[in-house]
Amino acid sequence: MSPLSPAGFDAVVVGAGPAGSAAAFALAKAGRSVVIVERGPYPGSKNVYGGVVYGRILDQIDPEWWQSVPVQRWVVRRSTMVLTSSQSVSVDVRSQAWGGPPHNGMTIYRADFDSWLAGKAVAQGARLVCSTVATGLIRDASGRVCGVSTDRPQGELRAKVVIAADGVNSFLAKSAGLYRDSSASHFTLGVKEVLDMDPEVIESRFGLGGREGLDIEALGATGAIPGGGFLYTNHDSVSVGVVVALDGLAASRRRPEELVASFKAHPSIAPYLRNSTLREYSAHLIPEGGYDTMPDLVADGMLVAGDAAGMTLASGLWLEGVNFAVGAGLAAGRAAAAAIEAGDTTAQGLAGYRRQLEASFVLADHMRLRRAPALVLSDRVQGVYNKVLCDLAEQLFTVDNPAPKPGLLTLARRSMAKHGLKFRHLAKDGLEAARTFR
Amino acid sequence: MADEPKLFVCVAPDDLRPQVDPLKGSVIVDERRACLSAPDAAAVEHALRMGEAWGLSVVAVTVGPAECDAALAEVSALGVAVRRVDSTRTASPRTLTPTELAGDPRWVAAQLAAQIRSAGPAAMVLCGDRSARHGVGAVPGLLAAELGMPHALGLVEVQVAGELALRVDKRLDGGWRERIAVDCPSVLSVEAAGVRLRRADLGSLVGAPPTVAEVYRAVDVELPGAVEFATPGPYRPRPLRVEPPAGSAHERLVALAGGNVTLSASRVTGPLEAEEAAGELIAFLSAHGYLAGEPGEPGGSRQVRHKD
Ligand SMILES: Cc1cc2nc3c(=O)[nH]c(=O)nc-3n(C[C@H](O)[C@H](O)[C@H](O)COP(=O)(O)OP(=O)(O)OC[C@H]3O[C@@H](n4cnc5c(N)ncnc54)[C@H](O)[C@@H]3O)c2cc1C
Repeated sequence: MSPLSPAGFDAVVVGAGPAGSAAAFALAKAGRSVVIVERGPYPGSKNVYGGVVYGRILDQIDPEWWQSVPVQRWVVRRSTMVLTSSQSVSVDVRSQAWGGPPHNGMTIYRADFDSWLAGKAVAQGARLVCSTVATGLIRDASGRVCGVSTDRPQGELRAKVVIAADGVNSFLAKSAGLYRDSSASHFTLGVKEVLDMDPEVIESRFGLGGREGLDIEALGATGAIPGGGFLYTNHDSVSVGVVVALDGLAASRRRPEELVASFKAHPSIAPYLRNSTLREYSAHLIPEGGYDTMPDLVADGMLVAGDAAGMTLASGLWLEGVNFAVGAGLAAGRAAAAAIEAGDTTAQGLAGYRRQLEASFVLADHMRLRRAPALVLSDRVQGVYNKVLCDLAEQLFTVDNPAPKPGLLTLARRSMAKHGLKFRHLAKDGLEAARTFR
Repeated sequence: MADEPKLFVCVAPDDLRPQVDPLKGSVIVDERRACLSAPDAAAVEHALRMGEAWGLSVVAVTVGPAECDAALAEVSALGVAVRRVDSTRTASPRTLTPTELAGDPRWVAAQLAAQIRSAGPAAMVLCGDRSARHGVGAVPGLLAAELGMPHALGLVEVQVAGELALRVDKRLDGGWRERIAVDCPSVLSVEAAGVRLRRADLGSLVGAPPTVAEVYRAVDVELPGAVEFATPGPYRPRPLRVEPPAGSAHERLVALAGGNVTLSASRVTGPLEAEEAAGELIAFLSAHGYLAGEPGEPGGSRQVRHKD
């Protein structure tokens, strides 16, 4: 490994979130000197997310990661709910296979997960410097990025490659001019509460055994504001919150905590939360614009990974950011190591990063689902289909004797007419959905 | 150099924002968040300034778990040697037992004294005036007793007054200060006042070895008659007996509306010269009791009494 010296490192990674730690891990593993600069007092101390990580990408860091990862619960129940203010329809999937290795989703606290992942990078030889804020990019005479300045005395760090993994609304990616457009409509706001609950209550209330967990994603949970709700079980707490379109929230003039309160009060959610006590409240932006709103990923001497590059996948059925950040971080670290090895860290020399992302799920999924954010946040998906579906389901299971049971088509027509949904809308959205999720 | 006097600074990195279970009253700490409290940070800064003035090296001593090392790395990057007496704990975050919560200052003082004796001799020993965890400021006093040194506490200002001599300002009640001369070696408890700990430069942090603290096992200490702590319960204030109000409802209403109060009519004096006007104002304030009284009493003026 090259010697560590403030005069020059192979790479500086800004941010010890999932993307940054994964990038540092890959660089250190390739024998490169790398420093991670993190503004929090320890990795994950400032980070907010919902609560479920899909761990298979961690196979590339530790083939038996599930042995050591500080998991809360292994998700064996995944429920997708469609809500109106007084109704709900759920699709509940349970798989005991998810309870055993290699698992599927896990609930985990970010302070634990990020510290664990940064520990993997440090164990490989990466250097972690906390309580230090990167305040700007340093460029050489040719304009190539060659380091970062920080808020510490003598706080310049020079490196052959800088990896910006500083999260959503990336200050570094913006400073490098990589964002062409960062309009508020590309972001959502995630607001979350962690509520204390006895483990035994969680298990009996949600139908779970020992370390099993539940993940509920809810559509139609945010009234007139486009968005969704979630509820995840941890060991002795539940995480409950909403994700709402930023421009919709601003237009509604409602406060985010009000939205969480009304989701918690929904008749399908409230009984789950009875007698719980609030432990923590937090809020954070999410880059949900998808593929079409991503910045340029590479500049001379610099790569952008994870939320800094808008890589959270939010497609209605999925809200995945951590696995995408880890995948992107690993690719960034490997591409940077290869470029350093080849002695060319210009944008051209670093172009392998994009190729690796395209070959992996990170850009493959984003490209395939690039139309999903617009579809999922559209007015009809957010405010009409949930009502049509809930009414249809309610009518289907309402026994109205002595009247005979109406046919399904009649009920569908009735429900569509009630909510102003035309067959042409259905056909158009159906086609769009088929194209999006093909 | 083993025999050269050193400046010792005792610190207790801790989670400064622990959670308190609202129902059970138990305290949950996350030692990954451990950092220096403001008084400890002030003690380190004073030690560094003395070190610069007297050309002495500074040694930080702590009793704590491995999670403290991140906070100690900052101290080490400032050129301070760090010794940690390991107090093994279980995973973080965790609920503190009542005994852990209260700690035993005699045990901590004995551990610190053992470290100082073995790394000494000490030119001066500085401590934050109290730890964040239920601290009552007992450790510095007990440490002074262990080391047989004089102890100056409640220090809000520390100035180098010459070779191995200090002039310090000590907080007294009622806003008073006492200025005293302190000779070496002494134990000083400093408050978080007047100084801010400098930040370590990036080069020293990045260049530091991954493990910064020399770790030592705790020495055996006999503590006769240790205090036993019961499990703390949630805070339940004692019921307060409130006397029924005096007088009839009508009388109370009149009193509230100011009906029984004789108001003095306003008096126009002047126009006056400045000196006469000031005299009028002072006479008015004295007549209404605003200028009477001793320092520290309401309305009393605050003064600084110097003892040196
Ligand atoms: C409410 C909410 C719910 C979510 N739910 C889920 C979910 O259930 N599952 C999932 O997979 N994803 C979820 N996400 C998305 C997920 O949190 C992100 O995609 C993921 O954290 C991105 O990782 P990252 O490393 O790119 O960025 P981050 O996790 O944001 O990490 C960035 C790091 O950089 C540091 N940093 C920033 N600026 C600087 C600077 N100038 N100097 C030094 N350090 C700096 C930060 O302190 C931070 O540690 C959710 C997000 C939110 C907000």
